Amino acid sequence: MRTRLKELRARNGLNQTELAKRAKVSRQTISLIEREEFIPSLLIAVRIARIFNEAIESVFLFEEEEIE
Amino acid sequence: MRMVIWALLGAVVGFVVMYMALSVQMDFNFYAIAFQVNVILTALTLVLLLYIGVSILQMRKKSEAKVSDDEEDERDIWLYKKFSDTNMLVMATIVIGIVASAISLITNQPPWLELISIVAVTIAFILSLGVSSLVNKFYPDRNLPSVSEKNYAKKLLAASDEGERHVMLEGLYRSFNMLNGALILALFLLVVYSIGTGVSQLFSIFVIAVILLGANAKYFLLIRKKS
Repeated sequence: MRTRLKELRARNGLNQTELAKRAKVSRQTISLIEREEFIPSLLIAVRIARIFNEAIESVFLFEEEEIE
Repeated sequence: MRMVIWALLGAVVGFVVMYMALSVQMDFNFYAIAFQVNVILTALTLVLLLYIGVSILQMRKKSEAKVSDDEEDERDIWLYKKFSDTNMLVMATIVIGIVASAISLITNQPPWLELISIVAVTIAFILSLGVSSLVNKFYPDRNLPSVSEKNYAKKLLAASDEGERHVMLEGLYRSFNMLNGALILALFLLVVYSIGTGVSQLFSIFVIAVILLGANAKYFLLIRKKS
């Protein structure tokens, strides 16, 4: 899974700490997701997507073979 | 295939070590160097305690300092790494301090050395509580349990989010596997030492065996329960 988190944070002028507060997770979790070392639960993915006003699938990008 | 090679290698090394232990009489008198080892370990404990004390002050200062939005992440990363390093050093200090105290008590070292060793390890235990409680200072808005609370570890795990639990799981699982291997190796070494020196290490062998059985039973029973 790839993610646009870093790009979206930069676009919205949010640091990891601020995004973490809004998504109700720790900064470490945001950092893990950004480094693509951890796939978040659906609940956190929805929260993050809503913060950026984007659809989940445009924030978290899956390769076709991953979801087949 | 890799496992088979490692198992065969282990068997060969085990056979050679065992053969040497049975044929060569080990002659190692620890009492002759006990004082020196005790002084070195106690001094190391004291140096580590000093370093931990300074680290606690640095972390308190850093967490209280006002930072801009741009520096907020950097500060959190610094605190996170410093906190992890300090926790690791606290654990190392406790272990080294216990070993130093054990040497002074078992080998009848001068009372001043016994006293310093025991006081040092006691301070290390107190500092470990101090370091753990820092996390509440870093994240006052999070509902993290206090160190003095009952079932602290369980509550801390419950208060952690999924990313933090993912990191903990990875670390703990690797550590658990390493500990299993290391303790089995320790059992093996104790057997070799007992045979080689004629000094029975059966008590330590029993203690390690009980720890291994207990820890593995707890882990596998928990896994089994979640079927």
